[in-house]
Amino acid sequence: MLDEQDLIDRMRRGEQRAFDQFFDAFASRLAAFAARRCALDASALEDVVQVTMINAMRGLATFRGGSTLFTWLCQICRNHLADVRRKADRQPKVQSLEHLEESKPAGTVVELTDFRDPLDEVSDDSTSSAVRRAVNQLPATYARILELRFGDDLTVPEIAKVLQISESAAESRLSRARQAFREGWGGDAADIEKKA
Amino acid sequence: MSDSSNNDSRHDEDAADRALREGLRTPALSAEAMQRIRQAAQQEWRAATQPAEPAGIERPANRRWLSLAAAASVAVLAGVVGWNVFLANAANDGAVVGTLASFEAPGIVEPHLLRRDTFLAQGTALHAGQALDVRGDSLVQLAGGGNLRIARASAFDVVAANAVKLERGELYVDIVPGSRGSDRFVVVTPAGEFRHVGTQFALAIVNGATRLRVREGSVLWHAAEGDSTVDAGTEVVIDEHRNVTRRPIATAGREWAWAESLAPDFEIENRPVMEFLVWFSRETGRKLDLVDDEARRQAATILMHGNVRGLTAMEALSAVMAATTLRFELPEGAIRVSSARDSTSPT
Repeated sequence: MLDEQDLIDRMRRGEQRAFDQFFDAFASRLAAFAARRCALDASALEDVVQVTMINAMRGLATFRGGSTLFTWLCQICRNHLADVRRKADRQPKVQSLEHLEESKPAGTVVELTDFRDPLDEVSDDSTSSAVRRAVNQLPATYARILELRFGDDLTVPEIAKVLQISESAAESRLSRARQAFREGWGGDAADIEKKA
Repeated sequence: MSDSSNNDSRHDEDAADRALREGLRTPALSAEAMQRIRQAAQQEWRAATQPAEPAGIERPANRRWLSLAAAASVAVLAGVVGWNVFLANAANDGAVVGTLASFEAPGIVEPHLLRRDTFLAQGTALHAGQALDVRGDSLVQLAGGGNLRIARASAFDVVAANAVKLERGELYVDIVPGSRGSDRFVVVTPAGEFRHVGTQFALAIVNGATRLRVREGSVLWHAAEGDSTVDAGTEVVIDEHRNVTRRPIATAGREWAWAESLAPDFEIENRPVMEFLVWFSRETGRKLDLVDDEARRQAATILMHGNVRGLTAMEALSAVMAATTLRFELPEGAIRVSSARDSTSPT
């Protein structure tokens, strides 16, 4: 298992191997995290991941270890996605007082620290859309652990590490989350099975 | 529970799990994309962990021929247009044109052939001889006064302490009249050289044509065919066959929005409202009209506290005016400010 504090310390010292370990461990997962939260084409997704990684490198000195590295990366990514949405919302630029009054003042833009952080439900595949809708209906802790297990394909010990809980707690929460999903998913499972 | 119900339960679990895998799966980025991300992140990591070697200042040997190549291309251009910016700069290689003040990530990149590209950090000085790619909208504070705003997807060379060459894309020059004395800032394009005369102007290269839009003051355009002055409110397009089209343009409006969004923050602390209004007027291309004596008095005497950092000019105006009793209107191309007592100018 990756010792994250040691990894960060070595990265701060400029150790190339530490950077490679960091990138290999998190870049793909970060891309998946972003892709599940915003309908992005490949080019836009690449931009989001690149900007997140660059911002993370710039903020390396400020990482305090209060969360796992991946949680920290996800927060940077959320903030960037919020910026992207905010900029998109601002187009076209405000041209009149009427528009200004209708627009959301920049000072009140919600930073996504307490955001429900839903999955993007827009998908060409109706099954994917339905699954994501069902996951979004679950309590956030259940949605998160299902995403780690089935989206990122992490093992229970890895999930425990990410969520900073014990393995038994992770196992138990995953079990409850699967049960809750099955109940919400209900009859749709049979439809999926038929299609399969 | 019977074997049959157990089987059904197992069956449902598998279907639900498969649905979860299917629904939460995302397409992976290509190996090429991941490699590009790795390079960019690694460059930034190196810059962050090796402060002793500031990005953009390092000048290794393999940059020399690139610098010479950039200088040579400018020399050819200088020969064509007859204005010897290059000769003036030959002894000026390495001179600082300005510093990178802010940018939208990933910002400005200095490409290299034999090693990884350099992502310039905030505060990095831009030197004559550098060829730069702009991958995110960027603001450069010019060493001689004023600022340069460069749109993403642009490329430019730093030619001298007072000159850049636009290779592609669009840039916006903002220099307050009289702020640089005789040190005229020059932008070089295939259509010639454009020198500010205390001005705001935008230059773009679009499909091989050069487009100049002058917002304030005037621009001296020097080309092989001769010199010309382009005044505020004018757009000039010079196509690749050197056909020239002129037309009047508005100095406020959507064409300028991208440049406005890159404006340096106005530091409002302890400064009179009037200074803010003048800044707003310049940033938005609107003529400032203080309607009555009381408005003029208040604008000159009310000092502001706090900050409007990160706000657009329009948002900053709203925030500042809400803290005063002054009223404002935004008729086309202008901002009218009046005192609350003046019944002729309702908000």
